Amino acid sequence: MTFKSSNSSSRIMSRPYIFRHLNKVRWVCLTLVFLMLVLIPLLGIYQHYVSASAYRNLDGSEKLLFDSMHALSSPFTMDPENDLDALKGTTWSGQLFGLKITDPLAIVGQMSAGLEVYWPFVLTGLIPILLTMFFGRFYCGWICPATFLYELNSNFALWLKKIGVYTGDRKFDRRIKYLILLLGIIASTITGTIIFASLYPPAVIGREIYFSIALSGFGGGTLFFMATLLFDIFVSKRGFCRYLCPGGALYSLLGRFRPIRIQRVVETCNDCEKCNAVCEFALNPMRDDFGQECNNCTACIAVCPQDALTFVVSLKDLDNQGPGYCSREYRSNSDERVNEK
Amino acid sequence: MVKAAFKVRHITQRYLRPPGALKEKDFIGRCIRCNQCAEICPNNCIKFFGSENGADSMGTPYITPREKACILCMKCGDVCPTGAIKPIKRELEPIVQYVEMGKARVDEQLCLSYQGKSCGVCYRACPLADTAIKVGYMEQPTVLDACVGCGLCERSCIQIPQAIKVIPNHLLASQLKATHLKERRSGDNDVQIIKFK
Amino acid sequence: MKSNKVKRIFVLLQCLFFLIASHSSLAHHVLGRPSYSLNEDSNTPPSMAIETQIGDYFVTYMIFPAFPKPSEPGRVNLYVTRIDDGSILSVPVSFYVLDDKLFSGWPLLGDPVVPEKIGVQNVDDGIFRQGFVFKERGSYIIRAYFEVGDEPYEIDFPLQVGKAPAVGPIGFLLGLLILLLVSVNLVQRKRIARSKFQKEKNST
Repeated sequence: MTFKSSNSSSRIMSRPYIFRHLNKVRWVCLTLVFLMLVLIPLLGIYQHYVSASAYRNLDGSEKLLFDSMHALSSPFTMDPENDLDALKGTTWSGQLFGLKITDPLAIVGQMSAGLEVYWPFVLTGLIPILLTMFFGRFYCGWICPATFLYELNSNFALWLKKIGVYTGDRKFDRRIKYLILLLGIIASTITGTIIFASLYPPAVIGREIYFSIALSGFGGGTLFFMATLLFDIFVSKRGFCRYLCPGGALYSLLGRFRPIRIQRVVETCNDCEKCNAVCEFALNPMRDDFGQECNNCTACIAVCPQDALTFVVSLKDLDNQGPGYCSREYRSNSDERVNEK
Repeated sequence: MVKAAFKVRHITQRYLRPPGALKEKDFIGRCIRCNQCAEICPNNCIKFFGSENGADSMGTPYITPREKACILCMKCGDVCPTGAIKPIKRELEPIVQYVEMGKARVDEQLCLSYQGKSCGVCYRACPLADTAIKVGYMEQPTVLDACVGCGLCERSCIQIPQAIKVIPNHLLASQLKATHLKERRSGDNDVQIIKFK
Repeated sequence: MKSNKVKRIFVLLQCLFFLIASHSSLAHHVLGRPSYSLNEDSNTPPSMAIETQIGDYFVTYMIFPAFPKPSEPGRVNLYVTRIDDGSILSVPVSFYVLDDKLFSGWPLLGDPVVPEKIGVQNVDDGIFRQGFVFKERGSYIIRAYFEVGDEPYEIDFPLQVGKAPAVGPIGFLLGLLILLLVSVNLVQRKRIARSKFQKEKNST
């Protein structure tokens, strides 16, 4: 890669090849999580059929489920009845081989609803909390099943726009979701139940997928989620994630001082604005404004033609570094400076 | 005036919570609606409320014993992340001591054994036979103190509707409007009629 | 002599061991086994059951068989007891059937539904039993009607004959939606990526 630069190249970091491809890794991650949300209930049903020795009682579609799950799991276990206990739950709360992992929002919700701290439960959220404090709002970009659907949806909205359907892109205040988080905590305390479980898209999605597979039914959660999809298309792009999600608010707060963050290399930046165009959260990478809401999705890193964005270890963002040194604006400014001299 | 009930849909009063569940009020505050208890239940008996039991209970687990009773495998307590369902060891003493799903009650007006036709199916279905239930003359069942309320008896009863039902824990303490359900205490020869207002 | 003593102690120890071992096996005895939902061939299928309180009475409604099929005879079992003293209802109960449409019976919305009488039953061994045969599958309502003194009682219960549709309208819509999202994203991804930058170009 050659950099057009008039400054010394001391600040230019040679960027590892992988950074450009992290966005693809992220999509693999999101897809895998979504697939697991579908697979785990299916395996659970298969496990129940095995425990009940029910193979001869099954009808056509149930036999199909049994056979396909058997084919999937038999390379890994001879005793599915007990071994499949190792994979349970959703991103809201689940267990992987005995390790229980819970969404921090569930912990906040449960502490407000019961007004008590049940330490074994709080400890199940420790790993997500620590990772968020280190990597920032990465759950929103890399794991959340709602992101999987919302990002597909926002691309779908762009295509709709291309074919002439009206789409909306209103901007609201990002601070609304913090208010929603606070109101949710207060409401949980007053009612004694965990309000977030019904209004937080990843919890709703995980539950609806489980209900549709294991209990053959959809609840009101599906309608709620479809309403947010329509909101995202017709009112505001990624509106729920940007302005309304209480989970996003919590992770942004936890990830405010994350050591691993994205930073612009101003020496090679040419102000093309592609990073701003792809940023799903309407941040301003081109002017170094990542903030606590950046989820390290690396879409900007992947798209930058100058490789001017990279990961750094730093507890805060740089202040606005101004126009990129390879941009027209900068060069005309520097020409002026030269002419002045 | 016609006393009418329009499209009665669902049993909402007589449901059981999973074995080891906290008291109803605490349970609702502790349960995070993660659905893992139903996922791990090998008997597939745990279902979840929609709105039929109030907004508080939405998404919380319950068991309808007549449809599918609890086999007391105690896996739900192991998997519950918040302790809304307490983990209880799968052995006789801890189960009898800590599981409080409810108590079975025999309706002698329905029970075939009390009508002169010897049955005893509920006794044979009970996983804690002779500890939770015993039979006497003509296989007439008597529910004992140790009954934990798993509901296997109710599930197996061949009378339609079933002659033995589990009164859930959250209804035992409160006012129930049935006075005709009798309970025999173990060791007592007298019949004690429990009057609920 | 000495070896006899040792033998005796050994036998005693074995007996002790067995006593202890049998106690722990009591604790481990099979506490029920998981069962698949019993189908219609079982003699105690999980019946469609409703329990409700209405007025002075506690009513239990149960269908046999659990999953009635069209053209197959079935019956409604109704058990009605007084709440205060537990005595069983003695007056006859009339049974009607109606179609269970979405807005059936609502004053302004649905067409007036005419209930069809299927029988009047007296109490038989404590239970009111009413047989039925449905030619067509569908959702029906069984209405039980009885009068105690001057007070009429009318209770509607659901009855599903034949299989209910597996995938409801919501599920179908959702499946369609996800398919649409994924397919458009895969097929049109280059175009979508380009349109992101064109938008920015137009704005600058």
